[in-house]
Amino acid sequence: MRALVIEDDVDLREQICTRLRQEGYAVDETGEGEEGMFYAKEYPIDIAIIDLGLPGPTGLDIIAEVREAGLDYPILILTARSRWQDKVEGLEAGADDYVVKPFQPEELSARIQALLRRSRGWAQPRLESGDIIVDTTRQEVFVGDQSIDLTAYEYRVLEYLMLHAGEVISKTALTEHIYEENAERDSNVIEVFVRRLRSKLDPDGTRKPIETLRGRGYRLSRDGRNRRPADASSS
Amino acid sequence: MINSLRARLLAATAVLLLAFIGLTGFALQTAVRDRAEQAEHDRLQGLSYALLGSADITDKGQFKLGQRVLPESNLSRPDSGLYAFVLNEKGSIVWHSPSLLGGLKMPSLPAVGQWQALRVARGKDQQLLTLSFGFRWVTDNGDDYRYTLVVAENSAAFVKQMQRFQGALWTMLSVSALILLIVELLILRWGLAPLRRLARNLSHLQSDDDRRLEGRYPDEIQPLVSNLNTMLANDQARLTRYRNALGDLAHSLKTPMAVLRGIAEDKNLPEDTRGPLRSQLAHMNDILDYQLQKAAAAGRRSLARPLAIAPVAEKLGRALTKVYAEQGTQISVGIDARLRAPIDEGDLTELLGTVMDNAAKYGRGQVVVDAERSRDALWLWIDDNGPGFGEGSNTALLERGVRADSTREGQGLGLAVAAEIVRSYNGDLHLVDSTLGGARVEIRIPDA
Repeated sequence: MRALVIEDDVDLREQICTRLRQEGYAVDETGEGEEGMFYAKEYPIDIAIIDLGLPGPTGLDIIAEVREAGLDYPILILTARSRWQDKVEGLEAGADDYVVKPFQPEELSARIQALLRRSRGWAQPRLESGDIIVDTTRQEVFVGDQSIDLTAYEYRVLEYLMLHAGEVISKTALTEHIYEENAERDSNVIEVFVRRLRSKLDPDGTRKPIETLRGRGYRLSRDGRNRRPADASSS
Repeated sequence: MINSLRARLLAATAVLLLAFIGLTGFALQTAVRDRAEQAEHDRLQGLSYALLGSADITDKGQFKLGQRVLPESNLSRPDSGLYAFVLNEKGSIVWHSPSLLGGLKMPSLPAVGQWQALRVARGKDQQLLTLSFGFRWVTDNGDDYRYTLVVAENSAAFVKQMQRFQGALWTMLSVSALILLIVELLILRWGLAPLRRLARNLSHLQSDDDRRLEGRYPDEIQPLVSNLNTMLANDQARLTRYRNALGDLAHSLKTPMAVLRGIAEDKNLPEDTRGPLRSQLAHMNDILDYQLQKAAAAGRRSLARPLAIAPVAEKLGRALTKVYAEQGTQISVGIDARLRAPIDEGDLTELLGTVMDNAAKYGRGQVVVDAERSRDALWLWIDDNGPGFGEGSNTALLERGVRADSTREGQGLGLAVAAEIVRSYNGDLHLVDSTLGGARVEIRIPDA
């Protein structure tokens, strides 16, 4: 999951970003409105956390432009102004939720996860596909009753595929949503991650939860099984 | 005390007008009466001269007057109302006109060469105007006679004439007074029209987005209008500036607090440091929130335009539906779009925002917002289907600072802030049971 954090206070931004990275997000960050506006419109963002009290273009301006550009990823606003008028303004401009400063870090995390799930149509914090279960709150993965140990990147790939279950995800898209903008990338690594995931989730190769569509990408089935021939038109 | 400019001016003018009309009428009436009496006097005097001119004394010393030569025919007609007679020295009638039947008792007689005008009663209902003249008659052979000539006329005709004149006079005066009063009323209407226009514009102002009095007013009230406009503009600008300043203050304090709050989660710090840090920060935050919210409340303002209630509630409903999408909370707002009340938009947003948020937070997925106007107040009801407030919470929840040390942040102050806003409008807020099974917050905001 790729998150964008726009917050002008350096300390607070660092805190939020550190926490998000620990939780497995690829994080792009900035303290400037202009730059934030650019990132928000040009990067493949999954969720944006935007402070309303920014110098330059305000948070509201950025939200309005993002929505005007037709981008519909979830936006969480951070506001110090606890007045309802400010909150309502942000929500009306196109934000999906707000967190009032000072906030509990866990609360911020919970809100971000909830927004991400909601945006992909999941109602529960537990993502399920067949017998594969991803607990997004605790970042734990189970196959049946058995807990599976994943590295941070493996977890990111699985979570992304789970959230987009049934969709074909290209290797480029996976790379973009898993790595930060300035990270060194190698799309071959994705293949390695997927191979490792397959061996961990389906050691005996019976269920084949992650399907490879040659030249197009990967698809994780909604029910965790891919017995039927690949159906490219499924969404 | 008359409490209207028009009534005051009208009352003053009416009194003045009546006094003027009264005095004029009285003066005219007196003058005309004097003039008429003088004319009557002159006529009787002329008659006396004419009678004296045809008088003579016989050789035997008898007063005589040729009947043929009576100057007025009425003197010859019996009881015609015009009489003449001559008294001698002893007061006995020596001659009388044929019109006089019976006598007439004169209360006094003038000296020789003197005229005397008198009103004399005759019988029960007759009033006579009399003019007497005392004279001496010296005959050629040297006899000297003392006589008094009395000419009298029934005053009925005169009185009737005067009455007719008075009637006409007072009718005319009353009609002109009435006309003048009507004209005065019209003048007042015209003269005070700018004030009425000002009042109308002031009340229209209350439903207009542009808080400004338009149009040109007379020189006397233009300064007032200009000052009002300045005041209105400043009032709005000051409130906005003030709220922005408070918002900036909140921003500059709360961002560092957020950093500290994050540090309080650092697992490397000992728990006995993190605990107090968390609770102190929560406490600071509550105090800050409460004071900022309280300071930002506009409260009742004069000339505030009545605000449409429904759009504010609906906007909040949309926002909160987004925020509580996870719980699938249904927020229904059933407020009449025409409902308006004199309350500041910021205040109403804050008030409804906190109460609706509370309802959504503690309810079990259903929040109903309704509002109505009674004769003199706005009523707001926010219902939820949650567990309700429980017994005895009415006062406790609305007290400032209750639950300020609550483990879940930002919950204790909501209703206290709402109650504070309601208080600034002299209204009241009650927590009761809802028909939905949960809590109902009932808010009354009086118009004045």
